[in-house]
Amino acid sequence: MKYILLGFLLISATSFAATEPMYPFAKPAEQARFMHLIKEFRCLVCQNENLADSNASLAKDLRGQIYQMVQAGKTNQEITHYLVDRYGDYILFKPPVNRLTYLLWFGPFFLLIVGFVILLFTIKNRNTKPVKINPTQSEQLQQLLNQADDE
Amino acid sequence: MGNMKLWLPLIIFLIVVGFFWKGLREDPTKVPSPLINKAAPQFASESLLNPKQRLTNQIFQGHVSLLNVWASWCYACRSETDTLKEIVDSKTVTVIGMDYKDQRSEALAWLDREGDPYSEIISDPTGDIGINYGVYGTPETFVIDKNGIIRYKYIGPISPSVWKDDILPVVLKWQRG
Repeated sequence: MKYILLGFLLISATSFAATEPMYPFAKPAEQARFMHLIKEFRCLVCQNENLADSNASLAKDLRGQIYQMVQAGKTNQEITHYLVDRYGDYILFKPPVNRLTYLLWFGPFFLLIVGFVILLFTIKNRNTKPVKINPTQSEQLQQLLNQADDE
Repeated sequence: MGNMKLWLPLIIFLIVVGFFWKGLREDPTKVPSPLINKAAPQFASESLLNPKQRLTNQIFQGHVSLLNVWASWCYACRSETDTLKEIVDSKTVTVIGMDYKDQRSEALAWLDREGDPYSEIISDPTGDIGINYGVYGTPETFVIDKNGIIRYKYIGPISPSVWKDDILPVVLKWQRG
């Protein structure tokens, strides 16, 4: 399993390296920050890819922009602002929590709570409602129980 | 309560259908622009036809403009040139082009072949101006009002019906306003 994973990592590493002019950084921390950032943003041309994986020419340009901004010491927040100002929240793979996305963020928890409430009600109803039967049914029941005892 | 229980699956089903109805009819490749109702980003570039001439946001002042982002390598752009020419002929709005991530010689050849509907063309060979305008796929068309504020953006080639139904009403609104 480990080797399979390693294989996948190597494949993705080569495909990235083959298309890219290198992005040299003086500090490994900056390099890591750059690599982290380009995975956070969506390529708007091929929408299910992030900027790190995409070969689209716009993705290359945006990698270049992010590289320059990291070099210039811009914070992650500043870089995110730069991209959202131009391309909108859609460029973020992790959508921000705001009025438009409350349903997205909290909907599942809401449904979970609703589910629990329904579950509790169902259990409560099941325990508290005694089954009412008329005397004939009661007699039949008693007979059945006696039969079961005999067997 | 018993009645309610019977209807509940149908209600949930209808809500889900509603979400799909809305969600699946929208084109996910058309991303709304955050630049609507904001000033058109500043730029300083050269005119494609006359490289000595500097162009800035001044070209949007005083009249409603269509800013059409195109490139000679863009196949879809070819399909809207006729509509753009019709728009120019109707004299309703100034049509300005932006040549995006293109080589000048190829762009000029394209204009010779397809015809040039633009009153002015901003040259953006690196795509840097495009990034500031949030361009991600050509063709894209912005409606910019007489004060240089972006009012509308259409992504994809303009057909006569798109012009008539989607873009013209916005143009007329901002010509009045």
